Amino acid sequence: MKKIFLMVCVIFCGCNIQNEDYTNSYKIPKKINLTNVEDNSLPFKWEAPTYWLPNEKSAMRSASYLIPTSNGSADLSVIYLNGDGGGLAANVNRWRKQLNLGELNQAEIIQNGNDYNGNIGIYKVFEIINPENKESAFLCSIIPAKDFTIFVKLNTYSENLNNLKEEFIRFSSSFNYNE
Amino acid sequence: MNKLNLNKMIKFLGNPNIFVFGIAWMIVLVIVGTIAQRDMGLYQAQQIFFSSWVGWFGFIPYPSGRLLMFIISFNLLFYFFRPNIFKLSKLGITITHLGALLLMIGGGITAYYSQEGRMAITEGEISNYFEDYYSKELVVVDNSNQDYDEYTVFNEKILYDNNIIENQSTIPFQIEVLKFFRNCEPIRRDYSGDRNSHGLARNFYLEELDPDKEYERNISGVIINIQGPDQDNNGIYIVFQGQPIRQPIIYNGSKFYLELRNQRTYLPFEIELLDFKKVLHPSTDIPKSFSSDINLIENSIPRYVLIKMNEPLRHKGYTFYQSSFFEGEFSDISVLAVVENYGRLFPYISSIIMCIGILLHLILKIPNNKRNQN
Repeated sequence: MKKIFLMVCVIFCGCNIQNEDYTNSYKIPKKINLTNVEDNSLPFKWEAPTYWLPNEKSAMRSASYLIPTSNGSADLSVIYLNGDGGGLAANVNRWRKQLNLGELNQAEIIQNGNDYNGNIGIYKVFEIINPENKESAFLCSIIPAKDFTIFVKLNTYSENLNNLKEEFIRFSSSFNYNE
Repeated sequence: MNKLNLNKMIKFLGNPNIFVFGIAWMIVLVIVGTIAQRDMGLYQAQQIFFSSWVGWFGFIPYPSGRLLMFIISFNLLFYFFRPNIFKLSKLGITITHLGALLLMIGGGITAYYSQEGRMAITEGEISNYFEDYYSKELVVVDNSNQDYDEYTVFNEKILYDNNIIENQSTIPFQIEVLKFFRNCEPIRRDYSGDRNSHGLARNFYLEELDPDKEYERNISGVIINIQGPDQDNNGIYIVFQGQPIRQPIIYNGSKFYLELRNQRTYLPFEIELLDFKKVLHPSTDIPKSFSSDINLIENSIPRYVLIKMNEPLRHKGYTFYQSSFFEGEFSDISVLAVVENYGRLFPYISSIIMCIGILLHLILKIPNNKRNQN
Protein backbone atom coordinates (compact mmCIF):
# COMPACT_ATOMS: atom_id res chain seq x y z
CA MET A 1 0.00 0.00 0.00
CA LYS A 2 2.86 2.33 0.87
CA LYS A 3 4.35 1.68 -2.57
CA ILE A 4 1.10 2.66 -4.28
CA PHE A 5 0.94 5.79 -2.17
CA LEU A 6 4.51 6.69 -3.04
CA MET A 7 3.92 6.06 -6.75
CA VAL A 8 0.82 8.24 -6.90
CA CYS A 9 2.58 11.00 -4.92
CA VAL A 10 5.41 10.93 -7.45
CA ILE A 11 2.87 11.27 -10.30
CA PHE A 12 1.20 14.24 -8.58
CA CYS A 13 4.53 15.91 -7.90
CA GLY A 14 5.58 15.20 -11.47
CA CYS A 15 2.47 17.03 -12.61
CA ASN A 16 3.52 20.06 -10.60
CA ILE A 17 6.94 20.27 -12.15
CA GLN A 18 6.75 22.50 -15.21
CA ASN A 19 7.33 20.19 -18.12
CA GLU A 20 8.32 22.92 -20.54
CA ASP A 21 11.72 24.35 -21.15
CA TYR A 22 11.25 28.09 -21.19
CA THR A 23 14.26 28.64 -23.41
CA ASN A 24 15.62 26.35 -26.05
CA SER A 25 17.53 26.54 -29.27
CA TYR A 26 17.76 24.51 -32.45
CA LYS A 27 19.19 24.73 -35.95
CA ILE A 28 17.27 24.49 -39.19
CA PRO A 29 18.91 24.26 -42.62
CA LYS A 30 18.30 27.41 -44.63
CA LYS A 31 15.28 27.28 -46.90
CA ILE A 32 13.96 30.30 -48.74
CA ASN A 33 10.75 30.17 -50.72
CA LEU A 34 11.53 31.25 -54.26
CA THR A 35 9.36 31.72 -57.31
CA ASN A 36 10.62 30.88 -60.76
CA VAL A 37 9.94 33.73 -63.16
CA GLU A 38 9.95 33.02 -66.88
CA ASP A 39 8.89 35.58 -69.46
CA ASN A 40 9.04 34.32 -73.07
CA SER A 41 9.67 37.83 -74.34
CA LEU A 42 12.95 37.98 -72.40
CA PRO A 43 16.17 36.06 -73.12
CA PHE A 44 16.64 35.27 -69.42
CA LYS A 45 14.75 33.92 -66.43
CA TRP A 46 15.30 34.23 -62.67
CA GLU A 47 14.13 33.27 -59.18
CA ALA A 48 12.72 35.79 -56.70
CA PRO A 49 11.75 35.38 -53.02
CA THR A 50 8.01 34.87 -52.78
CA TYR A 51 7.54 37.82 -50.44
CA TRP A 52 8.87 40.29 -53.03
CA LEU A 53 5.91 41.98 -54.66
CA PRO A 54 6.00 42.25 -58.47
CA ASN A 55 5.60 45.88 -59.51
CA GLU A 56 4.70 47.51 -62.79
CA LYS A 57 7.10 47.03 -65.70
CA SER A 58 7.92 49.81 -68.15
CA ALA A 59 9.54 50.22 -71.56
CA MET A 60 12.94 50.07 -69.86
CA ARG A 61 12.20 47.81 -66.90
CA SER A 62 12.00 44.12 -67.77
CA ALA A 63 10.95 43.41 -64.21
CA SER A 64 10.29 45.39 -61.10
CA TYR A 65 9.71 44.46 -57.44
CA LEU A 66 8.65 46.19 -54.26
CA ILE A 67 10.51 44.60 -51.36
CA PRO A 68 8.80 45.10 -48.00
CA THR A 69 11.21 46.18 -45.26
CA SER A 70 10.67 47.28 -41.69
CA ASN A 71 10.75 50.97 -42.67
CA GLY A 72 9.00 51.05 -46.04
CA SER A 73 9.41 49.34 -49.40
CA ALA A 74 12.61 49.01 -51.37
CA ASP A 75 12.43 49.33 -55.15
CA LEU A 76 14.21 46.81 -57.35
CA SER A 77 14.46 47.08 -61.12
CA VAL A 78 15.83 44.75 -63.79
CA ILE A 79 16.79 46.09 -67.21
CA TYR A 80 18.82 44.54 -69.99
CA LEU A 81 20.70 46.15 -72.84
CA ASN A 82 22.38 44.69 -75.89
CA GLY A 83 26.14 44.23 -75.81
CA ASP A 84 27.78 45.67 -72.72
CA GLY A 85 25.08 48.33 -72.37
CA GLY A 86 27.58 51.19 -72.40
CA GLY A 87 30.17 49.56 -70.18
CA LEU A 88 30.85 49.19 -66.49
CA ALA A 89 32.23 52.65 -65.76
CA ALA A 90 29.51 54.59 -67.60
CA ASN A 91 26.71 52.76 -65.79
CA VAL A 92 28.26 52.91 -62.33
CA ASN A 93 28.97 56.62 -62.75
CA ARG A 94 25.39 57.14 -63.94
CA TRP A 95 24.14 55.58 -60.70
CA ARG A 96 26.64 57.56 -58.64
CA LYS A 97 25.41 60.75 -60.28
CA GLN A 98 21.83 59.89 -59.25
CA LEU A 99 23.06 59.96 -55.64
CA ASN A 100 25.03 63.20 -56.14
CA LEU A 101 28.37 61.43 -55.96
CA GLY A 102 31.37 62.25 -58.11
CA GLU A 103 32.58 60.11 -60.97
CA LEU A 104 35.24 57.44 -60.54
CA ASN A 105 37.68 56.14 -63.09
CA GLN A 106 37.57 52.59 -64.49
CA ALA A 107 40.23 51.27 -62.11
CA GLU A 108 38.49 52.69 -59.01
CA ILE A 109 35.18 51.26 -60.13
CA ILE A 110 36.61 47.79 -60.64
CA GLN A 111 38.18 48.02 -57.19
CA ASN A 112 34.86 49.07 -55.63
CA GLY A 113 32.90 46.15 -57.08
CA ASN A 114 32.71 42.66 -55.61
CA ASP A 115 32.69 39.59 -57.85
CA TYR A 116 30.08 36.86 -57.49
CA ASN A 117 29.51 33.67 -59.42
CA GLY A 118 25.98 33.35 -60.82
CA ASN A 119 24.26 30.87 -63.13
CA ILE A 120 25.29 32.89 -66.20
CA GLY A 121 28.82 33.57 -65.01
CA ILE A 122 30.83 36.00 -62.92
CA TYR A 123 29.20 39.37 -62.30
CA LYS A 124 29.92 42.48 -60.24
CA VAL A 125 27.95 44.00 -57.36
CA PHE A 126 28.32 47.64 -56.36
CA GLU A 127 27.21 49.24 -53.12
CA ILE A 128 26.63 52.96 -53.79
CA ILE A 129 25.97 55.08 -50.72
CA ASN A 130 26.03 58.82 -50.22
CA PRO A 131 26.51 59.32 -46.44
CA GLU A 132 24.58 62.59 -46.67
CA ASN A 133 21.54 60.93 -48.21
CA LYS A 134 20.22 58.22 -45.92
CA GLU A 135 16.90 57.94 -47.72
CA SER A 136 18.38 56.52 -50.90
CA ALA A 137 21.23 54.08 -51.45
CA PHE A 138 21.82 51.58 -54.25
CA LEU A 139 22.85 47.97 -54.52
CA CYS A 140 23.57 47.28 -58.17
CA SER A 141 24.69 44.26 -60.09
CA ILE A 142 25.97 44.15 -63.64
CA ILE A 143 25.59 40.68 -65.11
CA PRO A 144 27.29 40.16 -68.47
CA ALA A 145 25.62 37.51 -70.67
CA LYS A 146 26.32 36.17 -74.20
CA ASP A 147 25.14 39.15 -76.25
CA PHE A 148 23.47 41.34 -73.67
CA THR A 149 24.00 42.66 -70.12
CA ILE A 150 21.53 42.57 -67.25
CA PHE A 151 21.45 45.50 -64.82
CA VAL A 152 19.78 45.05 -61.44
CA LYS A 153 19.33 48.05 -59.17
CA LEU A 154 17.96 48.07 -55.64
CA ASN A 155 17.03 51.47 -54.22
CA THR A 156 16.35 51.70 -50.49
CA TYR A 157 17.24 53.46 -47.22
CA SER A 158 20.98 53.16 -46.60
CA GLU A 159 20.33 51.32 -43.31
CA ASN A 160 18.46 48.58 -45.21
CA LEU A 161 21.29 47.68 -47.55
CA ASN A 162 22.97 45.19 -45.22
CA ASN A 163 19.72 43.40 -44.52
CA LEU A 164 18.82 43.04 -48.18
CA LYS A 165 22.27 42.29 -49.54
CA GLU A 166 22.14 38.52 -49.09
CA GLU A 167 18.81 38.18 -50.93
CA PHE A 168 19.89 40.64 -53.60
CA ILE A 169 22.97 38.54 -54.37
CA ARG A 170 20.94 35.33 -54.39
CA PHE A 171 18.51 37.02 -56.79
CA SER A 172 21.30 38.30 -59.05
CA SER A 173 22.97 34.88 -59.09
CA SER A 174 19.74 33.19 -60.16
CA PHE A 175 19.61 34.77 -63.65
CA ASN A 176 19.91 32.16 -66.34
CA TYR A 177 19.32 31.89 -70.08
CA ASN A 178 15.71 31.40 -71.16
CA GLU A 179 16.09 28.49 -73.55
CA MET B 1 3.31 10.40 14.73
CA ASN B 2 1.62 7.50 16.54
CA LYS B 3 -0.62 5.01 14.79
CA LEU B 4 -3.82 6.49 16.21
CA ASN B 5 -3.10 9.94 14.84
CA LEU B 6 -2.12 8.45 11.47
CA ASN B 7 -5.42 6.55 11.27
CA LYS B 8 -7.31 9.73 12.18
CA MET B 9 -5.51 11.62 9.46
CA ILE B 10 -6.18 8.92 6.87
CA LYS B 11 -9.82 8.88 7.89
CA PHE B 12 -10.04 12.65 7.61
CA LEU B 13 -8.30 12.88 4.22
CA GLY B 14 -10.37 9.99 2.86
CA ASN B 15 -13.64 11.40 4.16
CA PRO B 16 -16.32 10.91 1.46
CA ASN B 17 -17.74 14.33 2.36
CA ILE B 18 -14.69 15.96 0.80
CA PHE B 19 -15.51 14.20 -2.45
CA VAL B 20 -19.19 15.20 -2.27
CA PHE B 21 -18.42 18.88 -1.53
CA GLY B 22 -15.72 18.85 -4.16
CA ILE B 23 -18.11 17.59 -6.82
CA ALA B 24 -20.76 20.12 -5.68
CA TRP B 25 -18.23 22.97 -6.02
CA MET B 26 -17.20 21.59 -9.41
CA ILE B 27 -20.85 21.81 -10.55
CA VAL B 28 -20.88 25.47 -9.42
CA LEU B 29 -17.65 26.12 -11.36
CA VAL B 30 -19.04 24.48 -14.48
CA ILE B 31 -22.19 26.64 -14.33
CA VAL B 32 -20.27 29.88 -13.63
CA GLY B 33 -17.63 29.03 -16.24
CA THR B 34 -20.28 28.29 -18.87
CA ILE B 35 -22.01 31.60 -18.23
CA ALA B 36 -18.71 33.52 -18.11
CA GLN B 37 -17.41 32.08 -21.37
CA ARG B 38 -20.16 33.90 -23.24
CA ASP B 39 -18.50 37.22 -22.38
CA MET B 40 -14.85 36.34 -21.92
CA GLY B 41 -14.49 33.57 -24.48
CA LEU B 42 -13.93 29.85 -24.10
CA TYR B 43 -10.16 29.87 -23.62
CA GLN B 44 -10.11 32.59 -20.98
CA ALA B 45 -12.97 31.00 -19.03
CA GLN B 46 -11.21 27.65 -19.20
CA GLN B 47 -7.98 29.22 -17.89
CA ILE B 48 -9.67 31.13 -15.05
CA PHE B 49 -12.14 28.56 -13.77
CA PHE B 50 -10.61 25.20 -14.63
CA SER B 51 -6.90 25.37 -15.48
CA SER B 52 -5.79 27.52 -12.53
CA TRP B 53 -5.27 26.48 -8.92
CA VAL B 54 -6.97 29.41 -7.22
CA GLY B 55 -9.52 31.90 -8.50
CA TRP B 56 -10.43 35.27 -7.04
CA PHE B 57 -13.80 36.90 -6.41
CA GLY B 58 -12.34 40.34 -5.83
CA PHE B 59 -10.09 39.76 -2.79
CA ILE B 60 -11.67 36.43 -1.86
CA PRO B 61 -9.87 33.32 -3.10
CA TYR B 62 -11.72 30.17 -4.08
CA PRO B 63 -10.50 26.73 -5.16
CA SER B 64 -10.37 26.60 -8.92
CA GLY B 65 -10.64 23.51 -11.14
CA ARG B 66 -7.07 22.28 -10.86
CA LEU B 67 -6.93 22.50 -7.04
CA LEU B 68 -10.33 20.85 -6.84
CA MET B 69 -9.23 17.94 -9.04
CA PHE B 70 -6.12 17.56 -6.89
CA ILE B 71 -8.19 17.46 -3.67
CA ILE B 72 -10.67 14.99 -5.15
CA SER B 73 -7.86 12.77 -6.42
CA PHE B 74 -6.14 12.86 -3.04
CA ASN B 75 -9.40 12.07 -1.33
CA LEU B 76 -9.98 9.10 -3.64
CA LEU B 77 -6.44 7.90 -3.01
CA PHE B 78 -6.97 7.80 0.73
CA TYR B 79 -9.86 5.42 0.24
CA PHE B 80 -7.21 2.76 -0.39
CA PHE B 81 -5.73 3.25 3.08
CA ARG B 82 -8.93 2.16 4.72
CA PRO B 83 -9.07 -1.29 6.30
CA ASN B 84 -10.92 -4.23 4.72
CA ILE B 85 -11.45 -2.63 1.31
CA PHE B 86 -10.50 -5.84 -0.48
CA LYS B 87 -13.20 -7.86 1.27
CA LEU B 88 -15.58 -9.47 -1.21
CA SER B 89 -18.49 -7.24 -0.10
CA LYS B 90 -16.46 -4.07 -0.82
CA LEU B 91 -14.62 -5.27 -3.89
CA GLY B 92 -17.03 -3.60 -6.34
CA ILE B 93 -16.72 -0.25 -4.57
CA THR B 94 -12.94 -0.56 -4.45
CA ILE B 95 -12.72 -1.28 -8.18
CA THR B 96 -15.02 1.69 -8.88
CA HIS B 97 -12.75 3.96 -6.79
CA LEU B 98 -9.74 2.64 -8.68
CA GLY B 99 -11.43 3.50 -12.01
CA ALA B 100 -12.27 7.00 -10.79
CA LEU B 101 -8.70 7.53 -9.54
CA LEU B 102 -7.34 6.42 -12.90
CA LEU B 103 -9.67 8.87 -14.61
CA MET B 104 -8.27 11.68 -12.47
CA ILE B 105 -4.66 10.62 -13.15
CA GLY B 106 -5.45 10.54 -16.88
CA GLY B 107 -6.89 14.05 -16.59
CA GLY B 108 -3.71 15.23 -14.87
CA ILE B 109 -1.52 13.72 -17.58
CA THR B 110 -3.67 15.32 -20.29
CA ALA B 111 -3.61 18.71 -18.52
CA TYR B 112 0.16 18.77 -18.17
CA TYR B 113 1.55 16.77 -21.03
CA SER B 114 -0.87 17.02 -23.96
CA GLN B 115 -0.35 19.44 -26.82
CA GLU B 116 -2.68 20.61 -29.50
CA GLY B 117 -2.46 23.01 -32.37
CA ARG B 118 -2.87 23.45 -36.05
CA MET B 119 -0.80 22.59 -39.09
CA ALA B 120 -1.57 24.66 -42.19
CA ILE B 121 -0.05 23.30 -45.39
CA THR B 122 -0.31 24.67 -48.91
CA GLU B 123 -0.79 22.17 -51.73
CA GLY B 124 2.59 20.94 -52.93
CA GLU B 125 4.39 22.04 -49.78
CA ILE B 126 5.89 20.12 -46.86
CA SER B 127 5.60 20.90 -43.16
CA ASN B 128 7.17 19.34 -40.09
CA TYR B 129 5.68 21.44 -37.30
CA PHE B 130 2.38 22.51 -35.82
CA GLU B 131 1.52 25.74 -34.01
CA ASP B 132 -0.19 26.00 -30.64
CA TYR B 133 -3.58 27.74 -30.80
CA TYR B 134 -2.85 30.05 -27.88
CA SER B 135 0.73 30.07 -26.54
CA LYS B 136 3.26 32.44 -28.10
CA GLU B 137 7.02 32.45 -28.30
CA LEU B 138 9.66 35.06 -29.01
CA VAL B 139 12.21 33.78 -31.50
CA VAL B 140 15.67 35.14 -32.19
CA VAL B 141 17.00 33.73 -35.44
CA ASP B 142 20.75 33.84 -36.04
CA ASN B 143 20.99 34.15 -39.81
CA SER B 144 24.76 34.53 -40.04
CA ASN B 145 25.60 30.93 -40.93
CA GLN B 146 25.36 30.08 -44.62
CA ASP B 147 24.06 26.55 -44.11
CA TYR B 148 21.54 26.88 -41.31
CA ASP B 149 19.56 29.31 -39.18
CA GLU B 150 19.92 28.99 -35.43
CA TYR B 151 16.68 29.59 -33.54
CA THR B 152 16.64 30.66 -29.90
CA VAL B 153 13.14 30.42 -28.54
CA PHE B 154 11.72 32.10 -25.43
CA ASN B 155 8.41 30.78 -24.15
CA GLU B 156 5.55 33.21 -23.47
CA LYS B 157 5.71 32.31 -19.76
CA ILE B 158 8.96 34.27 -19.38
CA LEU B 159 7.82 37.21 -21.49
CA TYR B 160 6.57 39.18 -18.51
CA ASP B 161 7.29 42.85 -17.89
CA ASN B 162 10.83 43.78 -16.73
CA ASN B 163 12.11 40.21 -17.04
CA ILE B 164 15.57 39.83 -18.57
CA ILE B 165 15.98 36.84 -20.87
CA GLU B 166 19.14 35.56 -22.49
CA ASN B 167 20.88 32.53 -23.90
CA GLN B 168 24.59 33.24 -23.89
CA SER B 169 25.48 30.22 -25.99
CA THR B 170 23.45 31.38 -29.02
CA ILE B 171 22.83 35.15 -28.84
CA PRO B 172 25.32 37.89 -27.92
CA PHE B 173 22.81 40.19 -26.22
CA GLN B 174 20.34 40.29 -23.36
CA ILE B 175 16.68 41.02 -23.93
CA GLU B 176 14.73 42.99 -21.35
CA VAL B 177 10.99 42.59 -21.78
CA LEU B 178 9.61 46.08 -21.26
CA LYS B 179 5.99 45.23 -22.01
CA PHE B 180 4.17 42.17 -23.29
CA PHE B 181 0.72 42.65 -24.81
CA ARG B 182 -1.69 39.74 -25.19
CA ASN B 183 -3.54 41.82 -27.75
CA CYS B 184 -2.30 44.99 -29.37
CA GLU B 185 -2.34 47.12 -32.48
CA PRO B 186 0.66 48.72 -34.19
CA ILE B 187 0.07 52.47 -34.63
CA ARG B 188 2.19 54.70 -36.86
CA ARG B 189 3.98 57.46 -34.91
CA ASP B 190 3.39 61.10 -35.80
CA TYR B 191 7.09 61.71 -35.16
CA SER B 192 10.12 59.44 -35.40
CA GLY B 193 10.87 57.53 -32.21
CA ASP B 194 13.83 58.63 -30.12
CA ARG B 195 17.39 57.65 -30.99
CA ASN B 196 17.13 54.66 -28.71
CA SER B 197 14.37 53.12 -30.88
CA HIS B 198 15.38 50.82 -33.70
CA GLY B 199 13.71 49.18 -36.70
CA LEU B 200 9.95 49.23 -36.66
CA ALA B 201 9.92 51.00 -33.26
CA ARG B 202 11.12 54.16 -34.96
CA ASN B 203 7.94 54.49 -36.97
CA PHE B 204 5.41 52.51 -34.95
CA TYR B 205 4.36 51.95 -31.36
CA LEU B 206 2.12 49.25 -29.90
CA GLU B 207 -1.22 50.14 -28.38
CA GLU B 208 -2.71 47.66 -25.92
CA LEU B 209 -6.19 46.30 -26.71
CA ASP B 210 -8.59 44.25 -24.61
CA PRO B 211 -8.15 40.53 -25.31
CA ASP B 212 -10.56 39.27 -27.93
CA LYS B 213 -13.23 36.77 -26.89
CA GLU B 214 -11.85 34.40 -29.48
CA TYR B 215 -8.35 34.17 -28.13
CA GLU B 216 -6.80 33.04 -31.43
CA ARG B 217 -7.69 36.41 -32.94
CA ASN B 218 -5.45 38.31 -30.54
CA ILE B 219 -2.35 39.90 -32.00
CA SER B 220 0.30 39.66 -29.32
CA GLY B 221 3.17 42.09 -29.23
CA VAL B 222 6.22 42.83 -27.15
CA ILE B 223 8.42 45.85 -26.54
CA ILE B 224 11.97 44.81 -25.75
CA ASN B 225 15.20 46.51 -24.82
CA ILE B 226 18.30 44.89 -26.26
CA GLN B 227 21.49 45.30 -24.24
CA GLY B 228 24.97 44.04 -24.97
CA PRO B 229 28.41 44.98 -26.23
CA ASP B 230 27.29 46.46 -29.60
CA GLN B 231 26.35 49.98 -28.44
CA ASP B 232 25.09 51.07 -31.89
CA ASN B 233 22.41 48.42 -32.00
CA ASN B 234 21.39 48.38 -28.35
CA GLY B 235 18.00 49.90 -27.73
CA ILE B 236 14.28 49.43 -28.04
CA TYR B 237 12.64 47.18 -30.60
CA ILE B 238 9.03 46.13 -31.08
CA VAL B 239 7.85 42.80 -32.37
CA PHE B 240 4.27 41.72 -32.97
CA GLN B 241 2.49 38.76 -34.48
CA GLY B 242 1.79 38.86 -38.16
CA GLN B 243 4.51 41.45 -38.75
CA PRO B 244 4.94 41.42 -42.53
CA ILE B 245 8.73 41.41 -42.20
CA ARG B 246 10.71 39.83 -39.41
CA GLN B 247 12.57 42.50 -37.43
CA PRO B 248 16.24 42.34 -38.48
CA ILE B 249 19.19 43.24 -36.22
CA ILE B 250 22.81 43.39 -37.25
CA TYR B 251 24.63 42.76 -33.97
CA ASN B 252 28.40 42.43 -33.67
CA GLY B 253 28.44 41.94 -37.44
CA SER B 254 26.03 38.97 -37.32
CA LYS B 255 22.54 39.11 -38.72
CA PHE B 256 19.61 38.21 -36.46
CA TYR B 257 15.85 38.30 -36.86
CA LEU B 258 13.25 38.75 -34.17
CA GLU B 259 9.84 37.17 -34.48
CA LEU B 260 6.82 36.70 -32.21
CA ARG B 261 4.69 33.74 -33.26
CA ASN B 262 2.49 30.96 -31.98
CA GLN B 263 4.51 28.31 -30.16
CA ARG B 264 5.79 25.68 -32.57
CA THR B 265 6.27 21.98 -31.96
CA TYR B 266 8.48 20.18 -34.43
CA LEU B 267 7.56 16.63 -35.46
CA PRO B 268 9.95 13.72 -36.02
CA PHE B 269 8.49 13.34 -39.54
CA GLU B 270 7.17 15.54 -42.38
CA ILE B 271 3.82 15.89 -44.07
CA GLU B 272 3.49 16.85 -47.73
CA LEU B 273 0.09 17.99 -48.94
CA LEU B 274 -0.45 16.46 -52.37
CA ASP B 275 -4.01 17.54 -52.96
CA PHE B 276 -6.89 19.06 -51.04
CA LYS B 277 -10.40 18.02 -52.06
CA LYS B 278 -13.67 19.67 -51.17
CA VAL B 279 -17.14 18.29 -51.90
CA LEU B 280 -20.06 20.72 -51.75
CA HIS B 281 -23.71 20.03 -51.02
CA PRO B 282 -25.48 20.13 -54.42
CA SER B 283 -26.29 23.66 -55.65
CA THR B 284 -24.76 25.30 -52.58
CA ASP B 285 -21.41 26.65 -51.43
CA ILE B 286 -21.66 24.67 -48.22
CA PRO B 287 -18.94 22.02 -47.92
CA LYS B 288 -20.23 18.49 -47.45
CA SER B 289 -16.85 16.98 -46.81
CA PHE B 290 -13.20 17.78 -47.30
CA SER B 291 -10.10 15.66 -47.33
CA SER B 292 -6.33 15.89 -47.75
CA ASP B 293 -4.16 13.57 -49.80
CA ILE B 294 -0.83 13.59 -48.04
CA ASN B 295 2.56 11.96 -48.06
CA LEU B 296 3.82 11.05 -44.62
CA ILE B 297 7.59 11.32 -45.04
CA GLU B 298 9.75 9.54 -42.52
CA ASN B 299 13.47 8.89 -43.02
CA SER B 300 13.00 10.25 -46.58
CA ILE B 301 10.47 7.47 -47.34
CA PRO B 302 7.03 8.82 -48.34
CA ARG B 303 3.84 6.92 -47.48
CA TYR B 304 0.52 7.96 -49.01
CA VAL B 305 -2.31 8.65 -46.53
CA LEU B 306 -5.79 10.11 -46.97
CA ILE B 307 -7.02 12.27 -44.08
CA LYS B 308 -10.79 12.79 -44.08
CA MET B 309 -13.26 14.32 -41.70
CA ASN B 310 -13.70 11.77 -38.85
CA GLU B 311 -10.90 9.64 -40.29
CA PRO B 312 -7.76 11.10 -38.73
CA LEU B 313 -4.18 10.01 -39.19
CA ARG B 314 -2.54 8.62 -36.06
CA HIS B 315 1.23 8.38 -36.07
CA LYS B 316 3.85 8.31 -33.31
CA GLY B 317 1.45 9.58 -30.65
CA TYR B 318 0.17 12.43 -32.81
CA THR B 319 -3.33 12.55 -34.27
CA PHE B 320 -4.07 14.68 -37.34
CA TYR B 321 -7.70 15.64 -37.93
CA GLN B 322 -9.00 17.42 -41.02
CA SER B 323 -10.02 20.70 -39.45
CA SER B 324 -10.59 23.40 -42.07
CA PHE B 325 -9.18 24.94 -45.22
CA PHE B 326 -8.48 28.18 -47.08
CA GLU B 327 -8.99 28.56 -50.77
CA GLY B 328 -6.17 30.35 -52.55
CA GLU B 329 -5.99 31.75 -56.05
CA PHE B 330 -3.57 29.10 -57.26
CA SER B 331 -3.55 26.46 -54.55
CA ASP B 332 -5.57 25.58 -51.46
CA ILE B 333 -4.37 25.45 -47.88
CA SER B 334 -5.46 22.53 -45.73
CA VAL B 335 -5.61 23.01 -41.97
CA LEU B 336 -5.06 19.93 -39.83
CA ALA B 337 -5.78 19.94 -36.10
CA VAL B 338 -2.91 18.14 -34.37
CA VAL B 339 -3.24 16.54 -30.95
CA GLU B 340 -0.65 14.76 -28.86
CA ASN B 341 -2.26 13.30 -25.75
CA TYR B 342 -0.57 10.68 -23.61
CA GLY B 343 -3.68 10.41 -21.44
CA ARG B 344 -5.89 9.56 -24.41
CA LEU B 345 -6.65 5.99 -23.33
CA PHE B 346 -7.27 6.71 -19.65
CA PRO B 347 -10.97 7.67 -20.00
CA TYR B 348 -11.71 4.45 -21.89
CA ILE B 349 -9.82 2.20 -19.48
CA SER B 350 -11.13 3.90 -16.34
CA SER B 351 -14.73 3.88 -17.63
CA ILE B 352 -14.50 0.14 -18.24
CA ILE B 353 -13.01 -0.41 -14.75
CA MET B 354 -15.76 1.73 -13.15
CA CYS B 355 -18.47 -0.20 -15.05
CA ILE B 356 -16.97 -3.50 -13.89
CA GLY B 357 -16.81 -2.17 -10.32
CA ILE B 358 -20.43 -0.99 -10.27
CA LEU B 359 -21.64 -4.19 -11.94
CA LEU B 360 -19.74 -6.33 -9.44
CA HIS B 361 -21.10 -4.29 -6.55
CA LEU B 362 -24.68 -4.73 -7.81
CA ILE B 363 -24.20 -8.46 -8.34
CA LEU B 364 -22.75 -8.87 -4.87
CA LYS B 365 -25.69 -6.95 -3.43
CA ILE B 366 -28.30 -9.30 -4.98
CA PRO B 367 -28.15 -11.96 -2.22
CA ASN B 368 -28.47 -9.25 0.45
CA ASN B 369 -31.46 -7.70 -1.29
CA LYS B 370 -33.16 -11.09 -1.62
CA ARG B 371 -32.48 -11.79 2.04
CA ASN B 372 -34.01 -8.44 3.01
CA GLN B 373 -37.07 -9.10 0.83
CA ASN B 374 -37.58 -12.50 2.46
